[in-house]
Amino acid sequence: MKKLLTRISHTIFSLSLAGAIGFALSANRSLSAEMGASSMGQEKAEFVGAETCAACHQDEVEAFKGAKHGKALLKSKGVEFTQSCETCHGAGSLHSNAGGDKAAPGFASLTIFKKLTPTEVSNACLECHKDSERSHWSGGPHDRANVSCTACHSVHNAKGHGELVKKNTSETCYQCHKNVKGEMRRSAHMPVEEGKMDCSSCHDMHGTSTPKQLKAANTNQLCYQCHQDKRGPFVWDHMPVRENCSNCHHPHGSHYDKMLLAKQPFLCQKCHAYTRHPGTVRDAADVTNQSSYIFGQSCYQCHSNIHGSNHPAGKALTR
Amino acid sequence: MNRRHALHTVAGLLVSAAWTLSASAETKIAQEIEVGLQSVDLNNPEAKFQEYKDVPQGLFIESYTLDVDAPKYDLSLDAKSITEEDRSATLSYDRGGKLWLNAGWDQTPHRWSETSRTLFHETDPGVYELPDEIQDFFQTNTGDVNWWNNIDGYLDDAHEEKLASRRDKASLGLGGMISDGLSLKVNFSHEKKSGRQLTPVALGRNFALEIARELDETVYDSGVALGYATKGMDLGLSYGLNVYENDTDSLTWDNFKRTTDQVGSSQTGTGSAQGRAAMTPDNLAHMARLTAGLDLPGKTRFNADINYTRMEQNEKILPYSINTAFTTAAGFDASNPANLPSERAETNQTLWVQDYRVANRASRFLSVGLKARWEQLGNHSKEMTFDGHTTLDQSWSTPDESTHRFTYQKNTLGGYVDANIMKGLIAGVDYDHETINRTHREYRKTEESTVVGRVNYSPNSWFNFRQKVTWANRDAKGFEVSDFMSSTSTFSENPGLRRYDIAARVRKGEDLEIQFMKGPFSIGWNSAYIHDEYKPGEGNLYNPLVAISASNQNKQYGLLENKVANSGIDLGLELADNIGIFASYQYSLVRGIQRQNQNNVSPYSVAQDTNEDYTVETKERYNTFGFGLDTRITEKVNMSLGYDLAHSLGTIDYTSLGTTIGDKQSVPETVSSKQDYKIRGEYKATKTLSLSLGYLFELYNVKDFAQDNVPLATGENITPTPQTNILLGDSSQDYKAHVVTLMAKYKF
Repeated sequence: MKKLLTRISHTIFSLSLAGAIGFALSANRSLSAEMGASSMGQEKAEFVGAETCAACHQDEVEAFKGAKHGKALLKSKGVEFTQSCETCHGAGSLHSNAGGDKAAPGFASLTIFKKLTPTEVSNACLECHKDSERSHWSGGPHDRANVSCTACHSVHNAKGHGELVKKNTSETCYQCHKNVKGEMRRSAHMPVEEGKMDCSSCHDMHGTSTPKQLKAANTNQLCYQCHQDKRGPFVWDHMPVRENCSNCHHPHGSHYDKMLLAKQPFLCQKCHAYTRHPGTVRDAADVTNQSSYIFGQSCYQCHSNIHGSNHPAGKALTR
Repeated sequence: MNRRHALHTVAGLLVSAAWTLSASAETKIAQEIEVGLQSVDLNNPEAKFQEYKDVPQGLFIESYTLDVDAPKYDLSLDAKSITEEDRSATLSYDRGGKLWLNAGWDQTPHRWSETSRTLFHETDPGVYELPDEIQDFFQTNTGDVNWWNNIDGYLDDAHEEKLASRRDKASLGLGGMISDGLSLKVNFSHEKKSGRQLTPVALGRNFALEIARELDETVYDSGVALGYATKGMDLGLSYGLNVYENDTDSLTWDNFKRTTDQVGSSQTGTGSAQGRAAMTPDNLAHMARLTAGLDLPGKTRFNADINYTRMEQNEKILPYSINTAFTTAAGFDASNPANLPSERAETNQTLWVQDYRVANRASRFLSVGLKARWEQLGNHSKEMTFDGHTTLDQSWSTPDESTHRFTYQKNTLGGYVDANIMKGLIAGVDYDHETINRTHREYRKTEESTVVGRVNYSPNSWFNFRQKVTWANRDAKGFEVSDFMSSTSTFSENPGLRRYDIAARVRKGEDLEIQFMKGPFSIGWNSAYIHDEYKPGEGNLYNPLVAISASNQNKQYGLLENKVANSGIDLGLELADNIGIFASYQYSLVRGIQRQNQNNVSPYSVAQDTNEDYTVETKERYNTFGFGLDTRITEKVNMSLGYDLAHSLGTIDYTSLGTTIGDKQSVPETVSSKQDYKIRGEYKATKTLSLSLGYLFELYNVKDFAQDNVPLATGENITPTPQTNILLGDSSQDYKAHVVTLMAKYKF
């Protein structure tokens, strides 16, 4: 009951906090509505249709016919192709009337995405794509880092699935996360490098409530999505394992077997310096002699149920 | 391509053809198939070369895609590595966003060894037996020296057992819009993991064995999700059930040395005829989630995310030991399951995670946000007291062993302020405070405050600057040294040990990224740095039962310091309209310093003896380099050259050793290096047909004192106790691979 009351109080606190901030501020329009108006609001311009656009931008219009957005607008929104350019760029009569004269006042009346701030670009996209999958975008790490939708997706020149600007998800992410690209190559052939996984297997770039934008409630729940055998719960749990898989593993890649943070037994000895064998120095002589304390599977040789054991003698995770 | 592969391929193509023929005139259909002929020359049968993939020899079908663009729907089929073991296929149907269906099939191999061998034969699932004459011989000729001197004579009879597994996953997802804004999704997947995996077991601390264990695991996953989205609001509600089944509940293996049970030595494994360990139990998880997003007045966005997970398993518990000779020592038949405190495990854990976030952009110049996160893991398993336990099935220890429930609660409160100083320039500060309360670790409470300062500057489409500076301080409170040490017990924790994941710590970090992309030239620089310094925190560093002296030092042990530094540069240059080159380099250094105390001299004591102190410095250095050149020689001919290097070096050095262990030498360095040299030419013969010819030379080098020279039997050189380890001989090996590939891609 106490826990339930705690949870309820947390909920009430958070809702109150949100409400207080919201109502204390006086603006009338929502964030998305405001951004939508700023990106598309062309009060005096009128719609002219894609045929007019094609007079100057024939290549773009032709390519757009085969692009996903060019086709999806009709099927999902009932927008005829002729209206599709102006759905995002705004009504084009003033722009077309300028006749290519960049100095003419109407020339710049269209919404040119390259000239918008990242937030404005994203809000324009969210006019159609705002649902529970992108619910956490606003105020999320990418939004705050000046990353817009068009940093990763391209309506006109997509190269990969999902209208990505690169051939696959990981390459798209590596545009900025270059150190992660290096980490992924630490383990020679690993699933991400082989295309069997990608960054989006674990992370939701559109935002989640979890740190690191993980696609699960926490790190362990994410790992259990593929490694259900580590989930337990076991009769004997290894407590640091229960708390966080990344206490011992580096999921992006490591120099060591099983993507461990350090080589055994040195990894284990960071926490286990008990009397007798756990704290003993294992040195070059042990290597020469191929002692099982350091050779082969090392600590894991005996403590083979290191993630947890269901055996009556499993306290030391050996059975 | 074997017969089964061919049948799958033909079936897939027939389905595609049937769809094609039935399509209406308004329907646009595009298909593409890629077929190859490949020659692979690998000088060593090293599994690393095809660790998670298949590199086919001879004729193969690399891919087939079908895109159907009908007036009312889209359909696509994307099949990859069709004739290979790592094949996958995805079928997607989308009816204008109103109804959609996805079906998928994926095979992922994981290869560990092509050369491993074993003397064990699997006679039943999870039961591994040796030829009787081996056990009979060594039981008759007892004694460690006899055992070791004679095992070599049997090793020639070991049979090959490749170590590899494969995950086969079939998935199906169906979704649709029930009404305007209201969507429903259901999904189901079935996954089968099979193969053989190295499983280490032991019958004595100096008697290590490896088994090529057969894998037979199945996972069922299902879920249903409701979503509702309208202007300024979205809601999501989902439920998922994940079920894991392991058909091998336990692992039983013969003892080389014995054929009948007796109480034996846990050092040398001379007691039981067999050993037995529990395998991962069948288990399941229920997951429920509620999410909400709401645009509030004042340009405020509110998000809530509430997750509940219940994990449970109720596998039968194995008897105390498979060894039938413990009746006298234990006072009961330890091999009889009726003597257990519980027939089944009866374990369950629940996880509650609640996240709430408010983001506000009331001003164009200022963004603020607040967040709160509560994470609570609770173990509600049945508590059991076992009347003693066996040590590696050889001997019996009488102290009771009890399991305990535990809770782990992590609460985080935080906020940020971002100032939009000018177009493209944002400067911001984050503050988080995290509190962890736990019932099951040495530190019952840790608190960490984190401050992050950040600057993002993107004034235009060709320049980006991002910098982040982090400072965090973690305090550790409530260290209960008395729970983990005793002056009389021979197995006790060093009281000065601070486990790095819960120890008090100061973290300093910095990230920097600069990108410039203008005209034909692009350059990017990135660097990241983290320095963790661990501190004693609250609680005794010494044994309070012994006065502080040279043998009770009041010192901190464990990881003292950890540094991670990364930096890299990317260059790209369009030399002309038809020539582009790029190069990238990344360097990483990971350095840790840990202080240990050996404490292995009898009589064992938890007092910290200066003479047995030692410090270990671990370093890993990573270098990755890539270079590529793409050139369009003519309108129809393209050529590309590439070189990739991934090199890592690990060193482990003893930098400070006490007088009694002053002669210890650091272990050898470990090295892993993979180099790929690639050249590929492509000829676009027609608008629909292109041909390519490629050559790959892959060079892999590995040096690992623990993995690169693994014999079937080892350890004989240790004195005075002979080491008697029977392994699988799966050594990591260098390899060179030459791969020549002719590909044809046809669009129709």
